[in-house]
Amino acid sequence: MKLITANEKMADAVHGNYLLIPVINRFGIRLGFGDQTIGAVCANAGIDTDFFLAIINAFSNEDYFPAKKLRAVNVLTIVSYLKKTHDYYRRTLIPVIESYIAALLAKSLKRNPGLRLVKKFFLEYKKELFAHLRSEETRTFPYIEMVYRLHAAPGTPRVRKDLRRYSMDVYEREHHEVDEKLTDLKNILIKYIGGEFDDAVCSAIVFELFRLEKDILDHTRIENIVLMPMVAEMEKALRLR
Amino acid sequence: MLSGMTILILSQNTLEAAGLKAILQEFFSPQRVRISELVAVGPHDHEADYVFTTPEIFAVHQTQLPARRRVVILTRGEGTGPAQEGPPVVDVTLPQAQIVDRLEEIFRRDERPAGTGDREDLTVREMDVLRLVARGFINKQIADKLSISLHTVISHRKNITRKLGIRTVSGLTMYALLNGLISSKDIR
Repeated sequence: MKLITANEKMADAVHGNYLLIPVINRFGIRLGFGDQTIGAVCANAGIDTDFFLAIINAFSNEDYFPAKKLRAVNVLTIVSYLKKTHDYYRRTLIPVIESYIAALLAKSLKRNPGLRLVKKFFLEYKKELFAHLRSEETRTFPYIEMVYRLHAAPGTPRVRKDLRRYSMDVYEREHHEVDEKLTDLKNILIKYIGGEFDDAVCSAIVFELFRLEKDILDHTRIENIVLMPMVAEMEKALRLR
Repeated sequence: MLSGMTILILSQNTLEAAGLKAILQEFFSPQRVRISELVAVGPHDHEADYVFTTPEIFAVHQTQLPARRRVVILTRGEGTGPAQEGPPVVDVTLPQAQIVDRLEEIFRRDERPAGTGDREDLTVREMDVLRLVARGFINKQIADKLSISLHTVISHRKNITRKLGIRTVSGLTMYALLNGLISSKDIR
């Protein structure tokens, strides 16, 4: 897939890949962009165009990841973007899937106990995902913001104490388990769902699970390849001062 | 043809590797294609079903390539005929259609007859293990209950996950419930 550039019309980018719409929304940009170019839309919205392009190109191409361009962006901008993706999962995507699952049960006239299991499994997944998001928001992001503040203030003396290399192991393991559950749910619906159920609703659920999985993958990639190395570098600089 | 398979391309030629990757993805739909310049393979590379590499890398690092994996050599011009012995070769200078045909030939030769593939049903023993996993027992307890070694339990669990495509305990529990292997009152 070709790279999207600043001179391209925002509308054309969406025509090329409509899955970008929720990502664009995350920047506070809303549909109805007329014939404006991406550069113009970003300038109007006060968004760093290069950052915007790096994010949507990485999202569109699984093989393309502009780590260097992204690492040149302010850490706080990246954290703020990640927080918005959290909001999107919590306020939009998960509730949508949950409502589809409710519809799946409501539409099942005959008693299909498998569907109740789907609901139970999804609620369990949701609980774990939300706990993970919360832990990032209450522990990880504030820590990163603190490191950034210390690093940005030139007068900060050498810091040893406050820097506890926040445990990435735990963090990655959590991530991994939550992601595996999502993959399992998707696979169970695709391969093993049986009995009487509504085809349209079930396929809508699978679509949304694919979308969620892709979005989370993109989110994880930004954290692991961009954010973590940036933080590690600032920590190192602070220890050496 | 390669559904579920992972491919590793070991080549120092960026464009050759990218081209091959694109062809494999377009025509054979493998699950994953990874390109590496280094023979020092990553953690997932030992699971690769096929390794594509150049004659130079193969000559030097033959012994380091993942054992048991099928190797295919990328050549330029020479060696168009089938090799007498050693891994199959693909001439990367051929037109795309001929490369696709050649790859198909190689993959088809390795395909197992229908029904004996990797995705067959669970064995009786695997179902025993699955039932116990779903009922909340840990590996050690399962080993004791079935009078088998811990190692055997782990190997059964790997096979179950591979066959079903389900990794988590709650996913396996759900599968067991959906298929009537256990009932909801069995869950601890």
